[in-house]
Amino acid sequence: MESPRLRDLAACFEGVIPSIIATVDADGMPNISYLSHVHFVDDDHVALSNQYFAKTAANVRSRGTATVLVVDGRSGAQFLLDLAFVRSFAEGDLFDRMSDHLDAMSAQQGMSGMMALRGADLYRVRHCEAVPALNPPEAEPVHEGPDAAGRLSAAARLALAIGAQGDADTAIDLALDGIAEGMGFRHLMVLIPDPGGRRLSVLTSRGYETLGIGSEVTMGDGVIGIAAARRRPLRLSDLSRGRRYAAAVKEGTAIPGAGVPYPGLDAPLSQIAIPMISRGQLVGVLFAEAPLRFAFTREDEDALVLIAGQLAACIALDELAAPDAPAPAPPPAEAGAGPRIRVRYFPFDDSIFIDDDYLIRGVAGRLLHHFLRAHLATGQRDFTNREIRLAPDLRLPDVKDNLETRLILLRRRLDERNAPIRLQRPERGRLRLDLTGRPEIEVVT
Amino acid sequence: MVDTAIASFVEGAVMTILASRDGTFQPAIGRGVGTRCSTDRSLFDTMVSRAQWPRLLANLGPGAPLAVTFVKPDDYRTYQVKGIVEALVPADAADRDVTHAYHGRIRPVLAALGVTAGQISFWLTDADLHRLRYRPTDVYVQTPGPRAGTRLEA
Repeated sequence: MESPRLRDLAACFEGVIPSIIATVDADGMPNISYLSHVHFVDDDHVALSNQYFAKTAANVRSRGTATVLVVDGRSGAQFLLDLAFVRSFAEGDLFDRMSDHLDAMSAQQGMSGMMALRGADLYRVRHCEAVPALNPPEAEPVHEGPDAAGRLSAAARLALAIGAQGDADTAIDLALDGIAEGMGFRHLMVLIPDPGGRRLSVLTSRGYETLGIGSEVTMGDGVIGIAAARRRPLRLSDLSRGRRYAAAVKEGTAIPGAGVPYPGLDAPLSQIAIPMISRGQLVGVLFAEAPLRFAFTREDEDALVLIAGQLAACIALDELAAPDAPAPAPPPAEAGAGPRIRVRYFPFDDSIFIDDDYLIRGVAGRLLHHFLRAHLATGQRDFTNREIRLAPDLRLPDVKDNLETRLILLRRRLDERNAPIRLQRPERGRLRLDLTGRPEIEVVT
Repeated sequence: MVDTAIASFVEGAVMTILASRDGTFQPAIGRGVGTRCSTDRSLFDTMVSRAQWPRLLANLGPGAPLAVTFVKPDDYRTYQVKGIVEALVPADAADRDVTHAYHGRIRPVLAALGVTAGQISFWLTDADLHRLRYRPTDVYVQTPGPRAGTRLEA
């Protein structure tokens, strides 16, 4: 039988079904143990996370050889690889990605921080063979939606369309709708980081019961938080092993008490998070999940990286290019009319409540407080990005590059809540406060 | 050497993986599908499909060294047994009963952990079944944790 190529065994290298490693000691006695993850490097090399037992490590050092059994996490097919040790390594892109994956998996299994990656070993694959399947199983149902080539070309078209779009607000919807329709990935979110880098807020989503705009996850936690904190894509292909922990993970990922329910799936089996980076800055995270195993391939990850990059560039350019509109028009006469809108503002975390309902916190909350206060003082309804950036009470200098996404977050959250206060955008670089009543602000200290 | 607790553990719903090595010290791997211990626990019989694991069994003539690791998949309790092969023969009816009883015990345990029937069917077989009889010489705790690697005293 012809030797399989390693690149064709992608589903063996996702860390889903434990691998097995056999070695031989100096006296000729074999040793065998489980191994969490064999990583694909190229057609001739694999890398093992150096989590194995002392005996295995000593045998590899003394003889330089090992045999591993890897299992296709999707089908269950088994393959034997005869390995020759090349060298150990503890840095570099491959090491970082192995470390991210290990951290995400251990967090998902309720063992956060207990399995830090200390080192990794590179091996040359001397021989690869399939283990005969004596009673081949029925094929598992395949995913609905476009095939791999279709998904890639949809991603390429989408990247072009985003690149042609100058408006960040439109580009975000374009990206999510395009991914859902063109690539068949139905459960999607875009999140943006807060200025302190402690949290990420959902800017918008697709495919959930609620949009969840303004709900938050902690930086560094879960697939989204790890990808954001480390600025590297992260993909998990089968979360079923940690199913019993899934509820706990969801609880632990979303920040409780923030008031907006996190929209994620109850039992995701695949998740992928792609940091959106522009000029070295984290602009946001593009996230997809699915109730299916192996919903996202390595190639899908590459395609989503291109889309996330275009989206990040579009948002960053929008921030830079947003024209400063001329001075605001005089306040319209109807301002101040209508029923009372009770607004409470908590300066300690800049959270805003409207009529006892939590709305938002952080910079978006601070912005809304600023708009309402200015409106009450002078009747002002129109605000330009320039004056927002310069307003001393907003303390914005550290986040001026992300003003546009925060305004998008605030505007979408008000729309989702069907709030009596809305923000319109009559033109780029300008906002208009729309009120169906007379706001009264209570500052709660 | 082997107490009754270990003997009943290896006869239970445990994943069983084996390693042998050839004359050039290249290791080989296989999976077992059921184990039975002799009354005095001095000999273990582990059932292995030769058609599926020819390289493993080609190395296992009488006197050959062998490593077998038993793992309880629902709590990761793990023991590795080192031993010397006594005999490798085609399975008889009693041996096949051991394998079929093992099939019945391990399936629900794996299914409860999310392993699909299709994945299990790649290795949970009784085709070309052979009985590998070996004499345990050492037992090591391999359950992840502080005792991992500890050799059990007789």
